[in-house]
Amino acid sequence: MTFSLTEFQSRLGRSLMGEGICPIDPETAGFRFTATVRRSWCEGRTMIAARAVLTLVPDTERRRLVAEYVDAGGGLAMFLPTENEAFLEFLEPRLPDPSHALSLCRMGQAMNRARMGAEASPPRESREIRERIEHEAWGCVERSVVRLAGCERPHGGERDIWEWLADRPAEHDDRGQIDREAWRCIERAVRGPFERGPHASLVWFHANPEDVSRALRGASPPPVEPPAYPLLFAPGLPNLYRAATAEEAALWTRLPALDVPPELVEPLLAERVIVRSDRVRDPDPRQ
Amino acid sequence: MTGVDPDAKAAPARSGPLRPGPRMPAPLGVGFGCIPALPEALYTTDLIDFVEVTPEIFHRESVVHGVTELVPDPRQFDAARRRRGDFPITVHGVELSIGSAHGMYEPCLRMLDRLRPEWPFLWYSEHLHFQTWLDPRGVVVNSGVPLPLPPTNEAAALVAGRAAAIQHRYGVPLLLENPAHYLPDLPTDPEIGDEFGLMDRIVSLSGCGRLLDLHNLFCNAINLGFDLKTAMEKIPLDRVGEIHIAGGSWCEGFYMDGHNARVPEPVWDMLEQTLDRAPWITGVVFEVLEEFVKRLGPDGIARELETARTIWRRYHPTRKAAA
Repeated sequence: MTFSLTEFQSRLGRSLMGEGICPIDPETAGFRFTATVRRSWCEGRTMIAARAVLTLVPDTERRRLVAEYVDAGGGLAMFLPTENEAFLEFLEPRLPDPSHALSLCRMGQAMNRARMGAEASPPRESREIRERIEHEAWGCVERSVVRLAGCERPHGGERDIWEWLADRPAEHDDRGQIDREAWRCIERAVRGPFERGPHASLVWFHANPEDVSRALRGASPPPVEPPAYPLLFAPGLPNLYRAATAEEAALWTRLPALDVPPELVEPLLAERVIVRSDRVRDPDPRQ
Repeated sequence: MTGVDPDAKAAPARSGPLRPGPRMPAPLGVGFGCIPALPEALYTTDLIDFVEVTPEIFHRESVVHGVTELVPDPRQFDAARRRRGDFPITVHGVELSIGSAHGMYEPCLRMLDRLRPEWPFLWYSEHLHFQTWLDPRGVVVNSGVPLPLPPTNEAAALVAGRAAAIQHRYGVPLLLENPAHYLPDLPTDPEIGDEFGLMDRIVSLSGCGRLLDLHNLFCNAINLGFDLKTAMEKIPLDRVGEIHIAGGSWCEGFYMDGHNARVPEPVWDMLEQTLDRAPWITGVVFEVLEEFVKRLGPDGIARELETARTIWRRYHPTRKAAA
């Protein structure tokens, strides 16, 4: 053979995609049929990878979208979940908004994200929270000392502050004041702000999701209404999703936020719908 | 044409002495794929003797610490485990791409490393083909369809080295399957000759075995235009550890290995001829794709398995039959 194996495989692979010089006779019926089978397999893999979404797309449009995706190099993933992720990303900006197909597409993406989060390492370790508290509390101590001592920020930093504190009697009011302020900082560090979990999503449906699901099994699709059916997806949810309450949906739109209703905090944290922000807020200049 | 070289000797001939490899287990009988969607009634000792598992089906790609790995999909993994039950298992891989010049898809091997303690497979089979290639920028591209290797010394040496390493890695036989394809006139080296010469050279160099897919051979004979009987006579059967049978369908003038129909009569005849002359044979597997299960129906599948077992028992009276 005149080619190396590497070159032969590369040339054959490219020529089946209609590129480059074919290392065998491209005019044979066998070569042409192999190219047809390849194309058909790429389209077939794509259709299977996002069967649910495509069910709700009209036939002509479905074929056009699949062909466009394969033309762009899609349909080649070895594993269906990989193809599913890539094809949903391709579809999302191309589907009518609003539409049930778009809701299903976003739901597929949300499920993938939640699943990825469920398989990833557990949420932030307590050590990180402790470090943040120490950072906040130390800043508080420093500010309190400056204010109480009526002096400039200590030049010696930590050492000057400890020396100043060491000179104060243990029962002195200043130390109690510093304790109180430090605790306020700690509480602030632990309590917020909150933001959307990195693997959480909220997807709006434009009809009852059960009716949309029935349409996948052959029933007529329900009319597209204003968005009224929010679903939450997150790694900590049983089956990775559930319906969102109106209060949760309203909260989702305004995250990140400090003022999360107390009754929502613990369940949403446990479900990993929300997380505490990693960002340490700048100190309040009034304190 | 590369399907079969008409000038080659008709009698099975080896290109060299056989390198020793792991031994096949005692004959098992008839096997069937691990398809959780099928009724449990098909997975009974009345019909089958072992289950052939394709682990890629219940795994997916995930990047772990910057390295692509195949991780089990918990739901599908559990379903496959239940379906496999207590049957002996073998692994039939589909994504390794053992013939890719740039390298195999190594996550498959690491997946099997992790799987083996819990899924002690008796042998491992793979297709003799390539599925990925390097583009001019050095990026690995999936071909989108399995492609045949050219019958050359370079291809034989490449795959033989990998096959020997895989057998060493798992300590069980690796069986390579003859692929179905439609490409005539692949470039050849004269000392290899054709696709049978390629397989023969790889088996000799590596000590691996063969998975003789009779339906693939049947398809190639039709599509590439060679004589099936001559081809059958050319294949040395002493290292055939497993046989695949399946059905297919016609498309644009080609007969495709679709795994979507009943086994054609000529393939049953080929099975009869082969079982009598294959001393290493351990099992026969009927292949069907999950999406065509509905077309065949559970009863139709059961009939194919029963036919396979009837033929098998003519040549391998089983312990159960003896009992």
